[in-house]
Amino acid sequence: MKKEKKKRTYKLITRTDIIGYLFVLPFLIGFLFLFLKPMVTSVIYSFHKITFGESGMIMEKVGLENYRYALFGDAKFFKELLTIGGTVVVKILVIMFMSIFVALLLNQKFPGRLFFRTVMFLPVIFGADTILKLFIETDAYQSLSGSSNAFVSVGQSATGFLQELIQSFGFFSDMMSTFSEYAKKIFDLTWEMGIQVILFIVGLQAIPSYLYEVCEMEGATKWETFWKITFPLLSPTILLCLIYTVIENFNSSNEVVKMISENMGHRIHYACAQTWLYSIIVFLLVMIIYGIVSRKTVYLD
Amino acid sequence: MAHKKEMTAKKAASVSSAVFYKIFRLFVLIGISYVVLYPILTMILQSITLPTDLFSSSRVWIPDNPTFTNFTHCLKYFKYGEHVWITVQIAAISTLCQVAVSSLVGYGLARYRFKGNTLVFMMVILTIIVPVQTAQIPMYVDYQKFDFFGIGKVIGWFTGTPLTVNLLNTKWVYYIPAMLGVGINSGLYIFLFRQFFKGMPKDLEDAGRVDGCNALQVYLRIMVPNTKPVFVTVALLSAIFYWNDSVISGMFLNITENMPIMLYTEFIMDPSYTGYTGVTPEQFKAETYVALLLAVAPLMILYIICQKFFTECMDRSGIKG
Repeated sequence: MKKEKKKRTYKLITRTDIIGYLFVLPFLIGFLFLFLKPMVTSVIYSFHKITFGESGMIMEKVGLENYRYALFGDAKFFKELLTIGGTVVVKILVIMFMSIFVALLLNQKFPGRLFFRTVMFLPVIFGADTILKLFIETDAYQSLSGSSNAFVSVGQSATGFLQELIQSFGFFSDMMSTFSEYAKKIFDLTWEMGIQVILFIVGLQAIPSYLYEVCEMEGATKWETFWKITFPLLSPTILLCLIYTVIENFNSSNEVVKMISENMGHRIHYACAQTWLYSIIVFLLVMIIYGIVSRKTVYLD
Repeated sequence: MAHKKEMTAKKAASVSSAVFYKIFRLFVLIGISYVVLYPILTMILQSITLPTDLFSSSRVWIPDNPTFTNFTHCLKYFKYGEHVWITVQIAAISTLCQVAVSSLVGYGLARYRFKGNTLVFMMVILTIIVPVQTAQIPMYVDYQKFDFFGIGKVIGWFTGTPLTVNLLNTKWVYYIPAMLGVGINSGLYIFLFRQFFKGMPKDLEDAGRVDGCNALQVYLRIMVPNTKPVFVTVALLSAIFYWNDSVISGMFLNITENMPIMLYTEFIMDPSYTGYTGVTPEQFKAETYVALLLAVAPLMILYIICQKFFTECMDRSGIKG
């Protein structure tokens, strides 16, 4: 065994390498030509000042000026970055806990499960930009909006009803109103966790059922079964969802992305510089999370 | 005796906690359903309400006289069938390409520890992270004079004129990235496949190899059949995101006749659109809902078809340790 290993290290490229490269080849081509090339162009743009003249695009070299402006000149950009960083972290954690919880519920057998699963999937289907956009526009008549997501603001008025219902019972009204306040906030996130719940359901179903049978035979409680079987074997999905949630929350329509889109229209060079600063920050964040969480991930082997 | 009493008390406690748990579960699920269904039901119900009744105080949920006049009026200028067909083509072909390619790449990343595996994986994550807007203007230039990744240029050295094709306003702006693993959300699907393939026991593949399967056969005959739910999930998500896309089409596919349904809806349901002169705001609103519902209806049908696969066919009898 040892000998074989030694032998393999002498070879520059092994058979495994070649097969591996063949599998990822389509992605490598796509990455090179449809991702890296435009990205490099945009990096080049970010070091220039671009104006549109009669003869097309005029590029003027300015060095790091755009980046300097983004970091020190443009107070709004930096401020929005910090705001997003602050709000997103809590939101991501709540989404993660909530979606695991909902997926566990929906993975159980009970009457109406199919209905609730469909309901959970609806936000993915109805989450199209077009629908959200037109919903906001049309609802301007009713002045329901005000939140960035029209659906959520409608949802808020919906959970307001729940709040009233709870308060109408009368007792513990203070405690109940705080409670319902939080419940409302958590429920509003439902519109943003459709995909996570689906991924978790798929992940839960990928856990072989014989493991649970063993647990039952050994007399483990449900709580123990969860922590000893479900949680570790779900950890790859948790990693996946965590990364997805982080990226989704940073890339969905927040203030910075809006700012970048706006600048794309008239100040491409500055928009590119902003994008790169932003992407590098998110990339580092994702890599740190990946580094920490992937060490704890367990794969069934 | 005392022992028996303890037992009954324990049993009673477990029964009451089970009841409590059931109530709690119902509370959570109903809360979620309420938040999700409220806006959707609003859309559906308002789309079958007469525009004149929309703000009548007697109507709370169910319209007094449900009608389909909004539908018939909307369909007069909303060329539904045409644009749905365009979108079906885009979504079907892109989804097929995307599922095939991202599962292959995911499998390669999960099972072959080739040199640079981690680097390729980081590249995948990078494609998810960088906002799409960054690439749009350079891509526009590229698609306008698409030279088949430099091949056209090389041909140009011999013939004098480089071979370029204008891909703008063709469906290829969807297909080419999908085929090469950089389509909408491709990075996410590669990540997903990699995670699930990694979670599969290696024994089955080894058994396949012993039986003389090559790498591709192992993938096709052993991995694919055993991870069907993941494939169905990815296909469903992929189809939904291609169907709902209005960013790529808004940039590269924006001639009215070629528009996919979502962009077309956005384009038609614009108050400044000429078809809307003389329409009251109420009617405009009702018809916008009609258009949106029609636009997502095929996705609902797709979900219902897939649901069986997606939620129930996950018997993993083939895998034991």
